[in-house]
Order: sequence, then C-alpha cells, then structure tokens
Amino acid sequence: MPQKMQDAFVGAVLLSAGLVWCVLVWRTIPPGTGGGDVGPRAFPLLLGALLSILSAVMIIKAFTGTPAVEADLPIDDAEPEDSSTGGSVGWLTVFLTFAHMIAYAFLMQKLGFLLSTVVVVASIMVTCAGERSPLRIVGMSVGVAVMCWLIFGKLLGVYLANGTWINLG
Amino acid sequence: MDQFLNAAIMTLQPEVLGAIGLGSLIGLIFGSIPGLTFTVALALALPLTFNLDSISAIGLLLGTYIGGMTGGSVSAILLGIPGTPSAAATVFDGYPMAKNGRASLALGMAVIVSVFGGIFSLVVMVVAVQLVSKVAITFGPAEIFALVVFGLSTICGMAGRSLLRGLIAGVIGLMLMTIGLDAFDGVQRLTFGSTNMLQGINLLVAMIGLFAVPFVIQVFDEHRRGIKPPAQATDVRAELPSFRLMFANLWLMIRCAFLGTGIGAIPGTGGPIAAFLAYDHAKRFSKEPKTFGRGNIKGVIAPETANNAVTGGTMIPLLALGIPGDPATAIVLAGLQIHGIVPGPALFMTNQTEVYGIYISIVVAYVAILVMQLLGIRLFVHVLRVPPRLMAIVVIVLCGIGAFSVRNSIFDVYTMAIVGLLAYGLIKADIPATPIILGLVLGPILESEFRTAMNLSGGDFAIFYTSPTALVFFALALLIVGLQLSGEFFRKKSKNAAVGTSNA
Repeated sequence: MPQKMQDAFVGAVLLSAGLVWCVLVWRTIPPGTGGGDVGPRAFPLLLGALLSILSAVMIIKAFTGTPAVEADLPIDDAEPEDSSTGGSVGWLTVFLTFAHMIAYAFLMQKLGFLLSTVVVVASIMVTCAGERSPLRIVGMSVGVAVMCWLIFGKLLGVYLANGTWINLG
Repeated sequence: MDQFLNAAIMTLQPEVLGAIGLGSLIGLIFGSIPGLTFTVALALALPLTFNLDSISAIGLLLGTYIGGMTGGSVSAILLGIPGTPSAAATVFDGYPMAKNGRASLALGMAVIVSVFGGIFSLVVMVVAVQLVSKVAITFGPAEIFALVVFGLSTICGMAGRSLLRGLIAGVIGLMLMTIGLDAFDGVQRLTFGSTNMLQGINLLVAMIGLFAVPFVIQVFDEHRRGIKPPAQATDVRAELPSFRLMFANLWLMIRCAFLGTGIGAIPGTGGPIAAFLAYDHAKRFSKEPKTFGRGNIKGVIAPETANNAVTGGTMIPLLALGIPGDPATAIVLAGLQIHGIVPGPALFMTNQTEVYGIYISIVVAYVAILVMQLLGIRLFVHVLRVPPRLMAIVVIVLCGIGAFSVRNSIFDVYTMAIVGLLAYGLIKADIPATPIILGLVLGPILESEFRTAMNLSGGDFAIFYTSPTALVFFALALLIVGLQLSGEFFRKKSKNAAVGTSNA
C-alpha cells in the first residue's frame, strides 16, 4: 500500500473511531448540572471531537499535502519493518501472539498460574517460535513456569492467579 | 539532618541494598537487549515491589531505571545496535571503537561517565527540587492545569516524524483514561454496564501492553521471516580508562552532564534527545571533528554522560510537581503512589525521609552499576547471546504476571492483550506510542484539575487567564508547539535533521 493510501486508510479508521466514540459518549454519559460544574461528559466528548478533527486533517493531508518527511533514525522502540515485505505472514504472527495472550488470560483463571504457563509457553514454542525438539519445549515451558512461580510467588510473595477448575502450588 | 541520618540508616539495610542491586541488574539486562527498553523493565519489575517496604520498592525501581539507562551502551558498543533508544548516539563512535579492538576501553569509559553524569545530575536535582517545590506549593488547580497543558505540549517533541500523528496519539491516550467511573460525579463512562470496566484502564497494564507486546510480536515475526539475530559479540572485559584520559575530558563531561540534566527536566524530552544533542555538541567543539564516527572516545563520553544525567533531570518535575516527563518516570510515579508516597510540592513536608531515601538509593544504584558493569560485563555479553524468541516467551509470561498482579484481576490481562494489539496496529500505522503514554499519565490530572478550577471559580474561565503563573505555562506550551511547527517546516526543506524521538 502506498504511503498516501495508508495514511488515508488510517485516518479513516481513526475518524470513524472518533465519531463512534462521540455518539456513545453523547448517548450514555449525562451532562453536567450547569454553572461551575463541567460535568462528566465534557472531556470525553471534547477528546472524541478532537480525534475526529485530527484524523480528518490526516485524510485531507494524505490527498493534498506533500509526502511526510522520513526520519532515518529510530522513531520508536518497537519500530517494525515495512509491512510490504511480508504482509500476510506478519498478520498471522500478530494473530497467533494475540490469541495466545487471550488464551493465557482465560487459562490462568481456570487452571491457575503454573499449569496455564506451562500450556501456553509450550504452545507458543511450537506455533510462534517454530521449536520442534520435545525436550526443549518441555524444558522451557516447565522451567519458565516453575522459575517464575518460585521467584514471584514464593520468594517475593506476589499474588499469582489461582485456577477455578484445578489449582497447583 | 536527623531525617537524613534516618533515611541513610533505612536505606543501608541489607534488604534495601539487595533490592537496589536486583533492580540495577534487571535494568542492565533489559537495557542491553535491543528492543527491550528500561520502560518495559520498569513495568515488569513493578510487581516485584508490591510486597516490599516503601524504601526497598523505591530502590528497586530507581535501580531498574538507572541500570536500564546505563545498560543500553553494551549492545551499542559491541553490536552497533542501541540497547535502548537513549544509547543510539553511542553507536556512532562506540561501534567503530569495538571494530578497532578498543571495545573494552569504550565499555569502561561508558560506565565511568554514566556514573559521573548520574551523580552530577543528582546533585543538581537535590538543589533544584527544593527550589521548585517551594514555588510549586503555592499552585492552585488552575496553575496545575496550565502546568499539565505545558507537559502535554511536549508531546510535540516526542511525536516522531509528524506533529499531527503525535497529537492523535496523545488524544488517544487521553481518551483511554476517561473510561471507567468518573471520580467527580460517580457516573459510569463508557463502561457498557460492565463491572470490570468500572475500574477503568490501569496505567501500568496499558504500558505493559503498549511496550512489551509489540516487542514480542516483532520478535516472532522476524523469526518467522527467517531474519537472523545480529552477529554475536565476542568475549570482552571492561577496561578502566586512565586518569589522564578522564581528566582530559572532564570539562566535556561536565558540560554534557549539565545539558543532560537540563533536557531531562523538561517533560516530554528524555534520553535520546539529550544524547544526540550532547554528541553533536562534542563534535562541534572538537578540534578534530573528522575523527568522529570513526572511533573517537569523545563520541562515547558525550552521549553516555548526557543520557544518564537525564535521570536526575526527570526526577525534578516528578518529585517537585508530581509530573512525570517520560514513560519511565510515569512508572516510577505509579510505584511511589502504590507505596503511599505522592510526589508533589507537599512531599517534602510529609515524606522528607523517603525523599532522602530516594537520593541515597540513586547513589547506591550507581555504585552497584559500576561494580556490576566493570566486573560482570561478561554476563551481559552472554545475555546478548540468548535467542530473542526465547526472551520473547519469557516476556509474555512476565507480562501475564505483571498485568494480573497490579490489581489481581484477570480482566487486566485481557486488557493488556487488547491494548498490545491496538498498539501494534498504531505502530504499524506510524502513530508513535510514547505520546499515548503521556496522555495516559497526564489525562486524569488534566481533567480533575480543570474541573476543580471551574468549580472553584463558579464556571468562570477567568481563573485560567488571571493567574500569572498559569499564563507563563500556557505561553511556554505555545512556544514549544511553535518551535515544533517551525522545526517541521524547516525539516521539510532540508531532510537532514531529526533526532531519535522516543524517550522510552
């Protein structure tokens, strides 16, 4: 996707998000009582409007403005490569990582920290990290789970999730 | 004086020293791994502090912050990849030095000047913080609102390549923080009737999602595409520079330390900007500017002094005004609040002992870092050899622990995952992540101060423009926006400028 189109697309997504936000705010949050009371609705509404305006400007700039200046130095810590080099593969990874984190949250609640960590780490090793050696998969998943459980749960007394179906530790 | 001695006794306990040492080690390790910054380290280290007493907790967090700032130089010098954005300027001369076989000297020098810059900025901070807090104690809600607006205006400085994108990111951050129960009227805002949403989006959970999740996704993505991790570093040790060499550069170190502290004190700037400015300064005032970029040790001294001097600078607005200047200090702020310490002008009256404890912890952290870096440099070289995908797996588990333990809520783990996914999308769309954090941090203060001020004045906006202090801050905010706009205009003409802009 050329830069212009990408900018317009991002702008459009943000614009619709801003507008939906405004409608939701308007319909669900009551206004203030007047006088010196600013009310709970003012800020969210103002911010939603600001986002809509800014993203509208972004769309307009994408079609009329000069192309943005490319900075060649690092812009942010996690600056990913240009998506054009391997689009679909990239989004598969995104989906898999996201799915694992959602699954981790779900399993943590059901199986407790130890078991859920073993399961999720093993699954990530196979699907995301492309690991095939059973020894390393088991070693890594059990190792990470037990180490974290010992350090955080036992040594530092941080409260780790307990499972509702089954619970170890 | 009594309180100082008290603080010294409390801080020099074995468990506190252990906590500072542990924090420094975590910071150094995360700092040396490219992609994992000290912001992530802080967010993930915070759960460690929940069961510690307040002084140990502060020590651990400060150690992590300072260690992370220092640790970035290891991979910058050995691999030519900055471990944190703050160390990006160190690459220019540090990496050529390593290629010329002078890696040990570069590493040793980097540690020494980091400690120098850090301690120097601490002294400046101790003096400045007292003065600033004396002024700030007179501030009412209108003045604080103006100050926060000023803080937000520095979003422009963090915005990366375009002001518009920075503003969009900042507004998104502000919007996210309005979700939940409204503190003034007790009204639910955008909770969709869900009890979980009542508590809103926790700042720390959002930060873990914003910074750690994109790292994980990127590592797996690179692995899938078969991008090999960078060449491995050879075994090295850190070599202490001779006194003559240090003395010859003392004046440069002092100037860069001043510069770093000053830059750090301005909210929204931070390590990368200070380091690049210091590098530029050293090059400009050098008798032999041509040797820069080919392994001139001054090119290591300047940025490494400045980026550590930033740590003292950022503490000035944090402690005196309660305003964090960058994501890392925002996490330190959250950590302090969890332990019942509320930074701001009143801090010096209510928690004088803890304030001294903070000062002493910083000194101890630098001593710990000096020892660890000089003696244990091999450890960090080994850390650089761990395959990134295994590191990413550990980070996922730490994210899970961190997000859950902030409020013992599974809902927060889901939130973390969703925020992480959105953050990855935004980064892909070139919307910078750092201004989002600033919005998240300053949003609640901005809204509550504005509404308090309006309540006080009975709805009259005059409260904002009749206060000289507030006007000064509004003017400063305008100045910063103006400078950025004109800067962008000129940059379009000459495509050369641009300093690394994240200060994460």
